[in-house]
Amino acid sequence: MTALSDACILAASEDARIWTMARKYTMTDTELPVAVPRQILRSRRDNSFGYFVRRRYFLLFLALPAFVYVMIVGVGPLARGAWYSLFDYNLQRPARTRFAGLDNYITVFTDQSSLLAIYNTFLFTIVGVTVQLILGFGIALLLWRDDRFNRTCLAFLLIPATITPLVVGLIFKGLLGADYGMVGHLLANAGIGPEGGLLSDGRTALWVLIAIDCWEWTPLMALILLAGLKALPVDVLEAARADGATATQRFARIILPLMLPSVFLALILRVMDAFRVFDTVFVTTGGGPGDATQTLMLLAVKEGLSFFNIGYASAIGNVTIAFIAIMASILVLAVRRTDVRING
Amino acid sequence: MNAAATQLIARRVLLVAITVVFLLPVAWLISTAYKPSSQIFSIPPRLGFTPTLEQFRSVFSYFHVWSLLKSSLIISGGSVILSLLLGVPAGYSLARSRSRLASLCAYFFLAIRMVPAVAALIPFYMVMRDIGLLGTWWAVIIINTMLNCAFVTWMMFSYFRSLPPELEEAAMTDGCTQMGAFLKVAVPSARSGMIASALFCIMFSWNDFLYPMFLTRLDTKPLSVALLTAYGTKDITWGTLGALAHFSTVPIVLMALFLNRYFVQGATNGVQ
Amino acid sequence: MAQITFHDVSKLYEGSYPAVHNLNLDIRDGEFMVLVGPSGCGKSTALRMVAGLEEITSGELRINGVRSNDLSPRDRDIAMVFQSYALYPHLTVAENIAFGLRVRGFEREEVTRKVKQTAELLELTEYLDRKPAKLSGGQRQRVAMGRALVRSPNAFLMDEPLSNLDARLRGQMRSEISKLQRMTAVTTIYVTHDQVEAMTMGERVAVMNKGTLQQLDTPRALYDRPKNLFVASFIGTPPVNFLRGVLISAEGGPAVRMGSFTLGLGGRFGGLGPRDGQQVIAGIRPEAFRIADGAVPGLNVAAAFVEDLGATLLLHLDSPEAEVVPASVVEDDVDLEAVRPRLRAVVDGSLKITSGDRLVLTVDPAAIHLFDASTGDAL
Repeated sequence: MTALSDACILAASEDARIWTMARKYTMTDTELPVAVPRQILRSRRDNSFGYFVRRRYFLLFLALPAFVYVMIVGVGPLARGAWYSLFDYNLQRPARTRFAGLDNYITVFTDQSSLLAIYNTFLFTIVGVTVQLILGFGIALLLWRDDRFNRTCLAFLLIPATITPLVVGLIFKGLLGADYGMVGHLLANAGIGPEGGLLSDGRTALWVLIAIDCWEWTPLMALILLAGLKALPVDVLEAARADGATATQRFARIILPLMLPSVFLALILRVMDAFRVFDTVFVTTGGGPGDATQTLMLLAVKEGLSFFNIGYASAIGNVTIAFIAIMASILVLAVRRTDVRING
Repeated sequence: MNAAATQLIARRVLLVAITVVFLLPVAWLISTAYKPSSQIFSIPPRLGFTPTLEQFRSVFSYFHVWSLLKSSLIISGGSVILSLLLGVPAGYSLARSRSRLASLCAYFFLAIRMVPAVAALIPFYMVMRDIGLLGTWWAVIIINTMLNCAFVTWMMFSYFRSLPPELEEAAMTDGCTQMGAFLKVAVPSARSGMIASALFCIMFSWNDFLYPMFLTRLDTKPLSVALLTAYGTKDITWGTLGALAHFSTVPIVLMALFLNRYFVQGATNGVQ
Repeated sequence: MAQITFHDVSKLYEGSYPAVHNLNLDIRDGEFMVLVGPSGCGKSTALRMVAGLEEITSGELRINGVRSNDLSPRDRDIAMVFQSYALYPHLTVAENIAFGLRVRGFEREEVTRKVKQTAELLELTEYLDRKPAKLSGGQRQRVAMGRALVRSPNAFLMDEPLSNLDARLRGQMRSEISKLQRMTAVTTIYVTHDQVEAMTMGERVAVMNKGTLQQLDTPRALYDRPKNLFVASFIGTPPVNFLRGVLISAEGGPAVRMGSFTLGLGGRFGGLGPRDGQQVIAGIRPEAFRIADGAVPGLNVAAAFVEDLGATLLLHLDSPEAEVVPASVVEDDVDLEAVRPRLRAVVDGSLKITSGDRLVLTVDPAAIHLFDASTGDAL
């Protein structure tokens, strides 16, 4: 760290400028004017305190705290978690810890409830995000013109996204309960859906959860897509209009292709979040009935914080990270490819 | 009435209808707080009700509402301040650095966001237990700051990249030191980016319940945890919950509404 | 006061092309030096190296004889006017101008006094309390100038300050800037891609291309004695015509033959010795052409297109006999012209010439520039 502290000292001494002239470095034979500032000169080769070096240290100094913090508080526990995942480690029976290698991971991919959780999570993510994309795009198209009305509408539409997911879960639990929920009661009376309410049947519960997720996040999707729409080059659209393209043609041939990067970006964000869903599911069904709506995160929390199988829970967490990383990478690659195709 | 006008009206009507549909569940929740318990879940369900504040009274009797609010505020506020202090300089530095490593670092911070909460929770819990910070606000603030500052760094990185470096160059040729140029020119120019980041940080910390649930004790519990633990307790009714949810939801909703410009900016960050 | 010297200065980007290559340039104290060249020629990079905003990979930059490669911009005491003006958006005009003084710790009354002085000079007094967003382009440009002027620095560095203004304003500001510089006698380095600006404002002009200095001379010398094909084609509008030719010895002395047109060179190239057969490219400026009366042999051309500019006629001519070399071939990489290039000539506006006319052109041998066909350098 000495170079850094030296750099600091020099920066502080900037105000106490004492410049010394070193004749041997000047190669002109002009007379030096009277009030020429004099400079501390290092040897020609040694520019360790030169401005550009100082700038690099300065930028490093600005970024270091955040980086170190994230490493210690974030990467540290994560790494520890990854380490635990290699052990059969249960907090309630710490003495029986033993190295298990990849056993936990094998369990993740072979255990019945774990596989169901994987299936549920993927189904939830893919269906949910697709629906949100389509609906969100529609809303974005409606909101495309930038006026007061639309901006206010958007502001109100975003309210569901700002509510604690926990509260969202409670709302729908209250609404859909067959006994006394406003909606649930109506449905039960009309004979639609299972008797105990939509959330009580394993088959319908997951779809309800997907619908809740759509309710909560479609507006946000619309927002991101709207930003993408607004960033489309206006002159290209006008040219299409002048060329006689109908609205549908304009949409299919111009808007959609140009919007692909934004679409993929929105997908990345939402897929990452949807895959890690926890709060809403926890509160509405708790993973039930039985295991029917168990998602990966719920499983991990249950294993880790109810059963104290730290090792297994960490393994589930790592598998989730891996899935997300793979999906994100695919989508990022897709963004790059379409970006190149569009912008050359 | 010409075609364009009819189209506009049709579009607006449709938008209003959609907005209403999206807001209905929220409206229901808000309304439960003002209904007497008997009318919340009447069979068959009715729309009309006699407004009352009895739910709010019972909320105050069952919960230390102010203590909960205080906890939520301290956790959110502390996390936001720390995250901004860490993240804004980091975002600036990565944006202005010309090396390729900088871009990679920025993506690293973004990737932190990908991590599922639970993966870090258990080891973190144990560390907190060992240090003795378990049950304090600090435990939650520390972990929240980690996630938030990664987010702020990424957001400010994007934001500063869109600000031309000429302003700081002008400041430095005018005589500012590097830190001076950063504080006097770059930071004031980044005000809206910082507000947007702060808004998202507050939202995340205020709404989060997983970490506080395991890291706080009775006296340091925030609103989000209280909501969860209250539900299912036999004495607590839906009306009480609705009233409690007010405190949890209304501040954030109001903030998002009034600072909507920044919310939009933050959410669409990165979409060129 | 500053005398600025580039000594073998280069800037290389990581593992790719050099933005500036072995630049040697000596800028005198109080001089108005213009750096001119097409986009990407390295002129802005060279300017930013003087400012301390770009790192120098090798070579030495000296300010007043002192090696300055590693000085921060702050320590160099120079003032820069950016192409985009870079006005601080959250400060008023007065605060923008005062910024450099405040940061260096000047007394409040002195700051106010100097700001007022500068504002009067640039006619900005009524805008002192406005923020940049509420100013027009021309006003913003003047604020940027004011910010530089108020500080009495060692040198002014200007990076295409007029390129964002409309043509009328540009002409006006050109003379303003020249006037101000003469008044303050501060060393100024001015970067532009517009050769008209370069020719009208610079005491000396440095023409750059692809990171290297092509020629450093007064504007007059650049016009009269271009050192290579690039400088000849860059300076002067309409651009110079290039004809392929060969040097021969004729009765009257050396001559150059372009197609079927032979032009005696008189005593001009006598000192270079016999160079019979050397391949050359002849550069003839459009304004150097004369319409020959039938008696004297000259270059046979046909007028393809005539532009009437009022005082002059700009003729676009096809020359079936002599090979016209398009200027773009001279700048390698991009071969733009698939179509046969034409000659351009500027003649008196009162002549009656229309499209389709056949003409004979001649040139005063003193006005012709000869370049070696392979190296592009002047003979």
